[in-house]
Amino acid sequence: MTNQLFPILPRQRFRRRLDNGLSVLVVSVPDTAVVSSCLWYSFGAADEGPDEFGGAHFLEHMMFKGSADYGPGDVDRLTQSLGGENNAFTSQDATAYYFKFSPPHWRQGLAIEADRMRGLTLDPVEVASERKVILEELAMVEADPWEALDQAVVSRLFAGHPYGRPILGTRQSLAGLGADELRSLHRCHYRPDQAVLVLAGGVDASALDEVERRFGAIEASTAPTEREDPPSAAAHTSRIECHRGRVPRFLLALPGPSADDAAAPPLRLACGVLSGGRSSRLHRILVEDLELCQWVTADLTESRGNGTLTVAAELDPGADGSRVESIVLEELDRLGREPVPRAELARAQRLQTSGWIFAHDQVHDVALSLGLGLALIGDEDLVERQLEATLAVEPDQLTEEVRRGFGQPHVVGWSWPDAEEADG
Amino acid sequence: MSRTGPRFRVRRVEGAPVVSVRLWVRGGQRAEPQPGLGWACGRMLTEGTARRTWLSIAEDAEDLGAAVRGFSGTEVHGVALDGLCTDWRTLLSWGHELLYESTFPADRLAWLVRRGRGELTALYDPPDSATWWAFLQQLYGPHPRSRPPQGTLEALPELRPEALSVFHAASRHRGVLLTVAGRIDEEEVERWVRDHFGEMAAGDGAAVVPPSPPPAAGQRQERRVGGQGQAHLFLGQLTVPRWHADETALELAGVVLGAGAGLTGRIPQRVREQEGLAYTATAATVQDAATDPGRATFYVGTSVETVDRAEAAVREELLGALEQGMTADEVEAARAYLLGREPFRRETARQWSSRLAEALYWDRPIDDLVWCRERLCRPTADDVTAALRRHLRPASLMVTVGI
Repeated sequence: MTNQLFPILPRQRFRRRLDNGLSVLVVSVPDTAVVSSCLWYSFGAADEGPDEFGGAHFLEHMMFKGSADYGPGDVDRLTQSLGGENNAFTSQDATAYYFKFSPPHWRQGLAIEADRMRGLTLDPVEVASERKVILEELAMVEADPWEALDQAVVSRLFAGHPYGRPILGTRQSLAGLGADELRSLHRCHYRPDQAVLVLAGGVDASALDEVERRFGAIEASTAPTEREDPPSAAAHTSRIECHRGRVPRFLLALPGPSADDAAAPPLRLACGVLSGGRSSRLHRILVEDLELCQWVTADLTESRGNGTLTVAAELDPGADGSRVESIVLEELDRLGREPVPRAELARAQRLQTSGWIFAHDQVHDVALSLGLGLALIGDEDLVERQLEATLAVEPDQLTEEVRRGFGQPHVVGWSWPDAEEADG
Repeated sequence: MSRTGPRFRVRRVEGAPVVSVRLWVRGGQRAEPQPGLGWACGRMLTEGTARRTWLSIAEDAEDLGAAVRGFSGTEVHGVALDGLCTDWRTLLSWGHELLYESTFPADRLAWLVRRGRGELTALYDPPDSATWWAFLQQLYGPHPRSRPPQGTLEALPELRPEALSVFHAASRHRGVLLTVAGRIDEEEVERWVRDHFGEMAAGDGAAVVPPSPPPAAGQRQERRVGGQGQAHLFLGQLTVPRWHADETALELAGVVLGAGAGLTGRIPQRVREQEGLAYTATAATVQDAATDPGRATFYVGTSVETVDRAEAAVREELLGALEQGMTADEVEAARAYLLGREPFRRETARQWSSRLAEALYWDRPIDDLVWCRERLCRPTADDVTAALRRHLRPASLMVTVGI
C-alpha cells in the first residue's frame, strides 16, 4: 500500500524565507481552479500572559474589524465580491487565517493579510462591540452539553497549565482586554518572523515574488523571543460530574504526546483500533454488541506541547454509565497488555490511510495541514511523516506506547441528564 | 441518458487516488408512509444482505480502508461508498448488493430503533438544535419536513422490517440513480456498469405528494431549551421550490441579506457588526428548496435580554429590503460570490459524485459550470427586488424563540 500511495500530497513545492523571517511555502497543483492561502501565527491561547486570557482569540476577531486599507467588514465584503471564502481560528498553539479564491483573485488575500500584519486600527468602539459578540460566543459554548463537558475536563486535566485555560477567555478576563492590550499583543506576536504562509492550488513559483513584494517590507520583531514549549502537564486522576441535557455523555482524557513525538503515531493508531470503523473494539462492544452507546470515539489532538488523548461516548438514554466506563478502562488495559493481532492492526492502518487521503482531497486541506506542521514544529512534512510512521507501527510497539500513554493519571467526566432543564 | 436504460453518470476526477460511488433511490423522508421509515430504510441498507451480515459488510469495507454507509435525505435514500480508486469494481459490486439484496434483519432494526430514539433525544440537547426543530415543526405543520429524519419517539417502535422492504422496493421502482467519480477510466467503468447494473430501473419518477404545509400566519412560540441565558431566534416562512422561476433571484437576495461569505449581508452587518447583539446571525431565502418549497430563515443567537432588539433589527432590515430594494452593486457582489463558489464545489470525487447524482435526480445539467453561470447571470437587481417582494411577507413570519 505504501508504494502505491506515496507521495500523496503534491510535491511541486517552492520555499522562501524572507529577510524579515516570514516562512513561505507555495504548493503548485496546476489542474485545480482553487487557490488557498493560509497564514499561521505561532501565537495561541497558551502563549497569553496572566492579564491576556482570551487575547489571542479576541485579536483574531479584531483582524476583521479594520486595518489601514480595509475598514470594519471590508475583508468579508471584498471576499464575497470576488467569490471567495475566508475564516480564521484560534487554538492553544497558533492562530490561522485563510482565504479561498479562484486563481485570478488569490493576490487579494495576500494584500489583506499583509495590511493587517502591518497593523490594526483597533478602534475602541469596535473593540467594545466585538467584546459583546465574544461574550455571546462564550454563552453559546457554555450552553452546549459537549462543549461544556469538554472544557470542564480539559481544565481539570491541565489545571495550572496554559492548555487548561479556555481559548475564549472568561467574562472577567475579556473585560480587562481593550484596544491598548490588543495592540500590544498584535505588535508583539503578529510579526513576519513568527508567521508561516502557505499558498496551495493554481499557483506557481512566481507566487513567491508576489509574497515578497507584499510582505517584504514588514518589519520583524524588534526583540525576537524564543518560544518555549508549554511544560508537560502533571495530571491527577479525578472525576467531574455535571448535569446537562437529556442523554449521558462520557469523556475520558489524558495528557498525550506532542505532535512530533515518536509516540504519537502508535497512539493515533491505537485510537483507530479502539474506534475507527464499525468493527473497531470499542464501537463493536459498546455500540453494536451491548447496545449501550450511540457512538464512541478515541482521539489524539495535535499540539506543540502535550496533546490530549480522549475517549468520548454518547450513551443510549437508558444505558448503565458505570458499565460503559468499566468497559472503556478494561479495553484500554487490554490494549496495553495484549499485542493487537496483525490483521486487526493492518485494518486500522488501512482505514487511517484512506481517511487521511480523503482528508486531503482539497487544496485547502493541503495548505492547512502543511501550515500546521510548519507552525507547530517548523516541519511541513509533519503530517506525511506521521502517516508513514503509523503504517510502520508493529504490534509490540503499539502495546508499549498504549501502556505508557493510557496508563497515566486521567480525568473522567460525566454529563448526566438534567430532567428539569428543558421542555420535553 | 435515456429514461428507459440505467440512469448513471461517470466522471474522472484528477487528484487524490480515490473513487466515490453514490446510489440514490427516490424514497427518503418525503415519501415515507410513517415517520422515520425513510431514515430507517437508508440506515438499514448496511445492516445485512442475503449474502453478508452487518459485521461482514463492515469488516470487508474496513479491510479495504473504504467507507460504506446507508443514508437518507428528504427525497432520496441510498448508499454512499468511498474508497481507493483501485477498488472501484468492489465498491460498485457492494453498492449493487446493498441496494438489491438488503434483508432488513429484525434484530438490527430493533437496535436501530433504539438508536433512533437516542438520537432524537440527543438532538434536542443543544439549545440551538432544539429551537431549530421547534421552528420547523411550526413552519411545516403536518408535512414530513416538520420532523427530524428519525421521525418521532412514538412512531419509531412501530417500524417493521416488512414495511422497510416494501418501502425500499417502491422507492427503487420510482427510480435508481448511480454515479461514479474519481481517478478511474470512464469508459471502463461505464462498460462495467452496463454489464452489471443492466436491470437497474430507470423508474417512473413518480413523486409522492405529502400533506401541504400550512400557510404562514405570523405565529410566535417560545420554548425552554436550556439556553443558559442564551436565546435562539428563528424567523421564517416558506418561499419557492427548486427550479421555480424566482429561485435564482431569491438566492441572490439571500446572499444580500446574509447567506454569503463571513459576516457580509444586511442582517449580520446590522445585528452583529453594528449592534454587537450576536455571535451568529444568518439569513437564507430558499434554504433546502427541493420539490417542496424552501425556507426564508433568519437566525440570531443572542442573549435573552436582547432577543427583542434582535428581532426588531431583523424585521427592520427585511422591511427596508422590500421598500428600498436591492442595489445593483449588492446584487453583483452576491452574484460574484455564488459564481466564485462553484469551483469549490467541484474539487473532489465526493463532491463530483454528489453533483452528478443531483443532476440526474433533477434532470438538469447542474454539473455544467457554464449552465450554472448562465443561470446565475440572468436576474437583474430589479428582478431580485421584485422576487423578494413577491415572496417575502415580514408580517406573516413564523417566529420561534428558544431560551
